[in-house]
Amino acid sequence: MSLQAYQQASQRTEPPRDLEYRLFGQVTRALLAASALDARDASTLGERIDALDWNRRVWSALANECADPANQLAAPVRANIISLSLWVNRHSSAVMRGQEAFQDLIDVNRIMMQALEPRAAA
Amino acid sequence: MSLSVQGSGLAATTLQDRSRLAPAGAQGPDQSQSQSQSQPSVVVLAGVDRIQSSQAALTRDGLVAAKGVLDAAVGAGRGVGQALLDMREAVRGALDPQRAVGVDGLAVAYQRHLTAIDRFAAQANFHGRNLVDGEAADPLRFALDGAGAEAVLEPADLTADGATVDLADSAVTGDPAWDAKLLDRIDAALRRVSDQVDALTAQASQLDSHFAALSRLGEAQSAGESDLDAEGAKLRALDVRQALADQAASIAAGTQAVLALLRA
Repeated sequence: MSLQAYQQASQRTEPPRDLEYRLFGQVTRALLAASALDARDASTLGERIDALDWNRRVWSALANECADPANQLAAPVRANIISLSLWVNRHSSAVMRGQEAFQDLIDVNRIMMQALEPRAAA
Repeated sequence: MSLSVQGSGLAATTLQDRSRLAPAGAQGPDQSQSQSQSQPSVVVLAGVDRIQSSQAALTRDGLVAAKGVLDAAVGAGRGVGQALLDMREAVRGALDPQRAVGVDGLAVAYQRHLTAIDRFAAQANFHGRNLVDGEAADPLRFALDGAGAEAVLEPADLTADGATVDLADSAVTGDPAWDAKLLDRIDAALRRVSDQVDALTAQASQLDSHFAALSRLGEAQSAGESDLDAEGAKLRALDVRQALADQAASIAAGTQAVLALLRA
């Protein structure tokens, strides 16, 4: 493959880290939108549940990836991500119980976005 | 360096449509079992002691699906409880001789809150499963591996005419004797709803415990903590951010060295 063809292919394929950054951006926006909804309005329940579930699935998928022996991240980083996944799981339930706020989930996701943002890899 | 093994695996898993599709871990209700709607619910985790680390991903998916259903039910229960408190205020208003709002207005408000109870119960539908709308008389089962391990969630009817709330036929009348009895009925309903929400929360806690146990399967997870609070979680996230930045810097330095060799 010529250098030019490779560069064109690289431009068409989104790097995994960028995909992950984009994913965290999307799910964090969903959490932000859900956090602004009135919990006393029954019609908002579905959207709040969906946002929390989406975020939980993102973190659960991360935990699955970090549990894979083939994952190239250092063991302490993988352990931290798995710990965060457990916390997200518990905290999401507490949000639905009205005992905790969305904001902590949003804050953690934003830190992860900072970790993944493209310029951090430069 | 990305977080996932194949890089795009995480994104492929979770960038998909997040509408309420039926998850792989959810199965239909078992018709062979039934239970009283007013019976406190208790989660059953069958065969989980046999789950191996190689099946942790499937187990985690099943637990996530079950937690979603439980969270929806708990969220609905919280809304039902709030609606009952609002109904209570309407009845107390009707019993107050100094009331500023007429009985008719209070009766309308009461019916609005009563309707909200059914809306909350209906909105707890999650991936086609609903523990609290009175439709699921049988336990909901979530597969946790390919060999029969499952989480079994017991339903709790939180509709206005269900055994827990049982106020579908109620109304504010302006008759002090009647409304005083209605107040007692609402208080009793509040206690039952609180008990059901506690039971649902207990089920969720059991699933959380299993999540934590699952995290101890395998080598990388052994250092994972299961009792972080919000501040601890933010510190862990900052650690991850720093570690990824360090690794990225290391990779960039390596790339620069290669480029220097090519230029030489």
